[in-house]
Amino acid sequence: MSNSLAVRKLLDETQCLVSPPKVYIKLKAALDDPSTDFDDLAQFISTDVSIAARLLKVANSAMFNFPGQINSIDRALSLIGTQQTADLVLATEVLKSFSAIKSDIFSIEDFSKHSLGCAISSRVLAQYKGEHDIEAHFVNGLLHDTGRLLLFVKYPEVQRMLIETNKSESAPLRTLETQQYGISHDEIGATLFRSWELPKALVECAAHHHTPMSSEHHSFSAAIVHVADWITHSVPMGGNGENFVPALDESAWLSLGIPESALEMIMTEISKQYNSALNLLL
Amino acid sequence: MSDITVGMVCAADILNKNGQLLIPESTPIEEKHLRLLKAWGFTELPILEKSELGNTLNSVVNLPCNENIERRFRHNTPSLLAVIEMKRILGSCKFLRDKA
Repeated sequence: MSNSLAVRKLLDETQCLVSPPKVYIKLKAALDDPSTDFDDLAQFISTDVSIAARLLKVANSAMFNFPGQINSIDRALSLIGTQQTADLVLATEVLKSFSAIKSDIFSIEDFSKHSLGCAISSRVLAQYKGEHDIEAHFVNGLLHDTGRLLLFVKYPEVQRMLIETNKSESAPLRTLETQQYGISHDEIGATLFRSWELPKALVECAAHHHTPMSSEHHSFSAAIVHVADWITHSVPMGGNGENFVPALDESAWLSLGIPESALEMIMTEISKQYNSALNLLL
Repeated sequence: MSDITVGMVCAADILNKNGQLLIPESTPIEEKHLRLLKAWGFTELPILEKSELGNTLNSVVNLPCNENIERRFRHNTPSLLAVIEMKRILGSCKFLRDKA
């Protein structure tokens, strides 16, 4: 079976397990429509009360450090900005859907922590590089391993076996996935996001978080997620089934131009934001 | 080890190579611990800075941890400066990690 067919089949079988982020997709459509005004946007977000509540918690958190209490979606939108708010809506919506998944094989809590650790690390690295849209990097990091989540949910017993092999033979889990399924989690996640019509940068970050320099249009964003994933495994924050720290790609590291001497300071900031986000989002 | 004095507080569980718990996290170091640690062959210990006392972060740094770090980083190029620096940071056990 060719790769694309294998992915298609997997996605068809898992569609019911993972649903597209509806509020985000509606919000994006509204953002792209010039006739939408501010109130419409706030209205869209407010349709899902739990997402609206989580968004307000995030807006009031140490991540933003706004003076005074933000107690309405309107105010969050005007302070954080519409695009960045949309990114945060996507993040909260996806974390909410993760937490609904039940599994005896792996800890969804560990997986969520790994995703959140990579999201925060991407955000801090982007901040260090002086990027403006840091929440987009946050979401890129948050969703990078969604393909693996699909595999856990769809093939729990096979994945359990692969994790055991990974522990004893220490071949990377991604290599074992390719041997087993003819495809690995990165490509599966990217195909899923393409079918949801999520932003291209997100698709490429999922596809290339292990091979950032092969990303056609978004190698910088993919390199950020790659390094963030490496930091998340190194510490470690949570877990995604892989027992070893994935190889750091030298070109990707160099492309970010971060001096090695800054790593400890960056990790201290990540640790601070991660511990505050754990309480907020999980 | 010579910098460690009675009354300092362990920043992490102290485990032996087999993973057995020797001294639990947050234990104030006593004279008997110092003697035992020397006998067990420890060369360094994670100690909480004064400013960190009362910090609620989970810390589960296993010592001696260098062996473990080398194994976990086996897929990484050892000569990469970033990899060397990351191992140093983790080995210093200053970085309090989340209980995964």
